[in-house]
Amino acid sequence: MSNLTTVDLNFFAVAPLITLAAAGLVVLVLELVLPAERSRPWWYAAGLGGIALALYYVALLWSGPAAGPAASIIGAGLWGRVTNGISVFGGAYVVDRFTLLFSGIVLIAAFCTVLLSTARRDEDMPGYVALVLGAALGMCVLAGAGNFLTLFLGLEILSLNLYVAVAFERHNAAAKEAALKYLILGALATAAMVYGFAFLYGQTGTMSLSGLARGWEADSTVLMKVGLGLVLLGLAFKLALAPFHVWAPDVYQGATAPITAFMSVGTKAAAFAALVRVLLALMPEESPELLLPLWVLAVASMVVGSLSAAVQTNVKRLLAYSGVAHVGYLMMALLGMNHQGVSAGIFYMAAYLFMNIGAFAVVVSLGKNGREGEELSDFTGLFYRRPGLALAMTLFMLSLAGMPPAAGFQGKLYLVFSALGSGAGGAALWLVGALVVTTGISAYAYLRVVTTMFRRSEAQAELADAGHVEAAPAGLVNAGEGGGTGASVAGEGPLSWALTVVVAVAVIGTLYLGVAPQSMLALTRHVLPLP
Amino acid sequence: METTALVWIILFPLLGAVGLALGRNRLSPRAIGLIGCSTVGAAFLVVLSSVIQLRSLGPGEALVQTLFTWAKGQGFGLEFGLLGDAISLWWLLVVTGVGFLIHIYAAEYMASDPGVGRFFAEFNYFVFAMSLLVLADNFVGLLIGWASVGLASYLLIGFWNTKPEAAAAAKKAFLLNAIGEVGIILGLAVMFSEFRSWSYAEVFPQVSQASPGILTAIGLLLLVGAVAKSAQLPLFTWLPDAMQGPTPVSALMHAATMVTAGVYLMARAFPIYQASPAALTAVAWVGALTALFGAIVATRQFDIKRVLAYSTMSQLGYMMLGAGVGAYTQSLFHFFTHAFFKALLFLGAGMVAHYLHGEQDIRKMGGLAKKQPFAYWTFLIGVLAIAGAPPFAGFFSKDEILGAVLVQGHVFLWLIGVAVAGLTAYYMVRLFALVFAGDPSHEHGEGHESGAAMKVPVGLLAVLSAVSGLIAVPGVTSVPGNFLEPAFELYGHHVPHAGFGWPVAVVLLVAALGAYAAVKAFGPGGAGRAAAIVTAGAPPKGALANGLYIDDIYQKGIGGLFVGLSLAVGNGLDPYVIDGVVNGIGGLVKRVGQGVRQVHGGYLRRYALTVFAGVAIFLIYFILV
Repeated sequence: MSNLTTVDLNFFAVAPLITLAAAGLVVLVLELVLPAERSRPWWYAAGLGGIALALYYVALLWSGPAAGPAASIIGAGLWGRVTNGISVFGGAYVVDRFTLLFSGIVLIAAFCTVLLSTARRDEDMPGYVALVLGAALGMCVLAGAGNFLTLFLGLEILSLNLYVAVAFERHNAAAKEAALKYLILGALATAAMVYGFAFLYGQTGTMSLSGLARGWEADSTVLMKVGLGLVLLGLAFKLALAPFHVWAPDVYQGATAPITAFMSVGTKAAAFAALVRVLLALMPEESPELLLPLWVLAVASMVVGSLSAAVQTNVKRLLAYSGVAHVGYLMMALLGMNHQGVSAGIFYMAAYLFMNIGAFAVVVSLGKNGREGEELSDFTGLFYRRPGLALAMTLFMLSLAGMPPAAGFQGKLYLVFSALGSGAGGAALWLVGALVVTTGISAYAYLRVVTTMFRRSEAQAELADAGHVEAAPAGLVNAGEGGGTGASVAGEGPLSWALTVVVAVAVIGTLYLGVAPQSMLALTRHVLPLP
Repeated sequence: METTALVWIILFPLLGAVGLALGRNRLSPRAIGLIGCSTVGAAFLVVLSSVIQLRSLGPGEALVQTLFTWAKGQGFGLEFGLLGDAISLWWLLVVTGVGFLIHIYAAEYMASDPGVGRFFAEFNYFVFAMSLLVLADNFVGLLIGWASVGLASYLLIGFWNTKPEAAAAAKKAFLLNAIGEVGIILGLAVMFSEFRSWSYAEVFPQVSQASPGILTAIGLLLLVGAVAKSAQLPLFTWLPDAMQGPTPVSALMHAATMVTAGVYLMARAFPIYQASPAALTAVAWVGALTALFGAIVATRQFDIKRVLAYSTMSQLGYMMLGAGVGAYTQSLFHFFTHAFFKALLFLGAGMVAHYLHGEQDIRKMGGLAKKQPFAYWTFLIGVLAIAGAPPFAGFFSKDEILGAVLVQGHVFLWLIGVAVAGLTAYYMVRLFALVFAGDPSHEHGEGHESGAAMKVPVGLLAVLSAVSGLIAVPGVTSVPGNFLEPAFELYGHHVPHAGFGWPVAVVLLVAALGAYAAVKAFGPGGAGRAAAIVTAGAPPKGALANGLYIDDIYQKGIGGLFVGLSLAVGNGLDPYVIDGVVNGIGGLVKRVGQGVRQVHGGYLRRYALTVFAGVAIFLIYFILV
């Protein structure tokens, strides 16, 4: 810690983080200097621009300075090290391809979230945009945490921003209630985690994850184990692994759909990245039984998530439970702590990004009269009103259910591959078995949404029967148009361009990862110094 | 031999499905029918040319086409390719050939339905999925095809989506097949952990080195999938209900092709089964018992399509029985002839129902021989073929299976098979007599005559049902044997054969007795006929007629358990569920009115309690480990 050098203070390596923070400030300042009506487009523009710039820096850090201004800003010789990862600020923050991949996932999710929010007409939207940017910043910090302090910092930045973002609809009691629950239970988890840090520090005398990796094997006392347990617990809470998922359904339902979408993808990605880093440092190689609780939680999550999803009538809640099950699947990536597993986990997260954001985008676009289209009944006969949207939602549901040719299928396939190849023996077979069985159960939940969309309501059926030839009702005419544009019948305006973009991106992403998974897998290979 | 043609067998129907899905509201029904038929016809031509190409290769060689590398990484790899060997091309001849005929039939049958575009898109999609299932050169591709035909089946059973029964039937088919898919996936997991591959070409040569226990496990898990897809005991309950779909769907998918996917899996994975006597015995017994069960239940049904559905189940049982004694050639031959005569019977039933404006209760028919002579004669050929009357197709294929069963020394299984032959003759003649013979039992009014597009395929299928058995007359011709057996000998399996002999006479005698009993009871003036007509319109009574109530046990027992478990888990951890179910949309609004503090204080405590309990258990574990 004491050997801070100028190389350590490498601001270019944290350019994405700085950009996000600056963009948040710009949005807030814009509100002060311009009247609300004139500055509204600029809030979103600044938010989206900031995220896009951060993404650009992520890409730049990834590919190296061969072309572009970066070459002159940072010294030669640094890039050779970026592929292996460089740690900056005295080891507090690690910039390697692992960090960059997760930052990318988080930033795409944030970008889609801001796009999804453009329909909101509230006065205090700049605050909202700034909160999204802040949460994204926290997630990126968490993904690259090099020591416990950064880990804690990232976790708290993201949590504090999200607590407020969840409560953002001030007049909605359900939102306030959700935020309060999230805050109290979240505080509990954070406390457990900090407690765990204290134990680990007390035993090893270091806060750095790379330092811990050396200290662990020397003496694995009870206090060490309890420390590890408490840290896992805190992360399990953020990941919403059962039984620490109890907050998720309420919070997902109470928050607005864009925020829920962001939380479901971003928080999971960041917490998963942190979990990988913690396990990498604390991997008790000679005592695999220490990770048994994690596998138990994973199986419990799959079972509880898929069974509970099957009885939901609220789509946001359904997706919340679906998220619980998916985190259970994600844990399979950690069975062997090897390249193949981490690669499968990242791939799954990317697939989840597209299919989940897509599903929430559909929920947003079904909203009307100030209420979101979150009840299952809102989806009745959607296919006959907005065929393009219904087909997109069908794709997302099939993907979540893990059916080909969507990304979810490939994701599950790689998880199974990595689990079977992990050498974890019995635990792997249990997890694979649970995955297969709960996939069957959850297919019921997802297909319920699909069948609802393809079921005509009585009124629609009569309309179609009476006028198929002569009157050609609007729904049937539209049915031929396809695509995401969804010009539609009375009562529902056309999709805004922003929503169309998000749905289209999600559809393309889901299909692309499902059909050509190699391109993504190639990126995820060998991103960590692993056996 | 590497080829580039195979992929078109998959692509033609896929292009058709996509094109029809996009243009379903712009194209006329005529154009839709034309596109739907021509894509399948084109696929059939590719299959034919591939068969010719395959014949020119040496024994044991096959057509292959490498498509792409699906996944490549440390310790695992998946090349995706197509394999056109004798087994898969044999299957495709039927899938695309009979599929083509049934598409033509459907072009007229569905022409006036407003959803004709959706129908043909989904029907073409089915041909695509089935071809993928059969052509894949690895088990994962097979599984994808398997799941895709399941999806097609789900969509087409529920085609008339405003009918609640159709939706329920579609759901049932989907759920039961999901059980089968779980079995296959688990089987594939075990397979991978043992062989490190899912490709046929890599797995099968390694089978001889694997332990019998592992092979039995794989075989039994795959059998679960086959049982679900081929409607064998105990996962058969979806098939009778699947008749809620349009008749062409019943004919193509739920009689001729899709339901035989289970038999295909048995034949495809034959090295595994031949190496595991336990799994092979299980296959034989599942098949024999299903054949008997289906035939018994069919004798009590009054819905023309349900009789045929149980009959399909019973005939699939024969195929599984054949596979279970290693008589794959005979099993595949029976699949071949069964596709013709069962498709013929279903399409004939469709013509009858079409004529009677949708009536399906055979007690309300009778006397249709004079009014529908074409349906009468073609249906008669179908009945003779399935009942095993020489020289029609079913006689040769069924006797070949039963002969092989006896040659392998399974006397008890053979006796079951003979009994089923008698029952088959009985229920088919009963059906035929009630529908066509005597006087009309009810007034039907003026009927709706079928046109040429329906009659031509039915006529062709009738000709095929009559003569296709002649390609395998023991001692004279042996087309299936010559064509298929090199594929089985590739991994060292020699298919047992039996010639003509006294067992054939026994089977014929029993079948004739069955037919005689049915004529006596259900012919004009028969006692059974009079008794049946009195109950017209009522559902059949008794445990046998209702399939031993197995369906009710699933619905109320297991289904209830699942719903109960879901609700219990949901309620236990999620206090919103009841509100959600009861109040629907209003729940949230109402909740706000009730006041936040009062309602939610309790929940938060409960959540915290759950979390604390979790934390405590978690920590105790880490302290004790």
